[in-house]
Amino acid sequence: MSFDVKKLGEHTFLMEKEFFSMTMDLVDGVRLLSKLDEHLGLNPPLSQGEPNFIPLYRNLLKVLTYMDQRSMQMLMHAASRDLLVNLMRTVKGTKLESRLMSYTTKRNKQAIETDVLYNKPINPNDALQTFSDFFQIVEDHMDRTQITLVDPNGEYY
Amino acid sequence: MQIKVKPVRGQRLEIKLDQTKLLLTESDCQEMRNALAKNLESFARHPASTWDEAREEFKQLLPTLEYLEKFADNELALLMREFDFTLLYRVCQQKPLSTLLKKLDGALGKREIGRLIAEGERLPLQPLWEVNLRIGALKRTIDRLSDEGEIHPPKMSSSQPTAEVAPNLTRSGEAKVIRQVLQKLDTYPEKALLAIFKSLPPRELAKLWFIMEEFSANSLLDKFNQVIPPPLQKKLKPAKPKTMLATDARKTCQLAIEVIKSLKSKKSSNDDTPPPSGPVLV
Repeated sequence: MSFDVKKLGEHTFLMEKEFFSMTMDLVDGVRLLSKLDEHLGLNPPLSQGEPNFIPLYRNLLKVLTYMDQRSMQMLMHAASRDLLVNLMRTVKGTKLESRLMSYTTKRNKQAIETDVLYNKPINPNDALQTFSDFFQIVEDHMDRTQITLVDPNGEYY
Repeated sequence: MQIKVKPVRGQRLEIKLDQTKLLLTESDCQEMRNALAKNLESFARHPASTWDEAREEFKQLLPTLEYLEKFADNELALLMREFDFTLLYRVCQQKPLSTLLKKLDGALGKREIGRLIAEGERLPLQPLWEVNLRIGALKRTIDRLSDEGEIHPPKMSSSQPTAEVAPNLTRSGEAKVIRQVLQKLDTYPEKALLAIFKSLPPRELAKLWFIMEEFSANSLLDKFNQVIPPPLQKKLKPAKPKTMLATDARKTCQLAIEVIKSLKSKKSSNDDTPPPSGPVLV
């Protein structure tokens, strides 16, 4: 019997195989994925690219920006300044970065850009921690039904 | 959750997830990894079929929303007091359903509209199926308020054009039963008819009026005009349907029969305790 992974709700995943069955949230799911990739040698060599979870999480960040402006502002507001600095480092110099910046206040943006760490590249471990922390905030907001994720193929009102 | 992965002998990985320990071959691990990745990537996405179903359902429900345009202003205001229209107002704005928005503006007033908009801003985006659920709830609220006689909305136009439905009533399979009921009613004296008419919910009486006209039950209509004074007729008029389905008409007639039965039993129980105070049926 093969491994079966199903989505329960929007950010909980059910893994099943024979007598094994377990649910985990998005954040744990990606952490497990990153560890498996590491041990199975599925990541590209360090010199040639980033571990797989980084583009995956970047994509999920992009999915978040399909939400309305108010929801995004709420998320950015809930994250600490240090977390935002690190988050921007994971998407540094991309369109996504300027998009994310647009949801923070002018003052916050300035503070992020003048942070000593801002211009330093982020290592994969810190990046995973940053994404995990940020998406934990996302999950909490979803659980409290303060935000609704938006499927670009769907219709929302 | 504590997650630990470490390689063990024989090309296997030991995966510890909190209390759970899994010992898997590398190929199993790879399978798990791929299944997991596929699901994680689709975070926030729903199957296309789910959206298609929701869109189809919305198409069928939209007339219920547009139907509100035909409501009298005060009845629409009454309905909105009973029903939280926040999400559906946002749907009206985005579609946009301009005629309905204008109608709501007039019926609810600036303050109430302002409240709807403010509440709407606090509500996170909702997927289409939530909108569908909301329209379903709206429909039930309209039905409930109509049944309670709180509002008398115009008949919702059915998918068939009016001209096709109306003449069918007298030629439908129910026509025979309906005629019998009308004939039966015609046998009662005016005093008894008044008791029957008064016992019917106003909306049903308005329907019965329509049925009498439709079946040209002239003698009965004369009596109706005798016992129901013009001011009362004027009140009933808005609830009088323009067209009616045969099954609906039959239901109204059945209700009239129920009313006659209950009045009769009341009368017989009154026989034991004179003087009779209830309406008298002969």
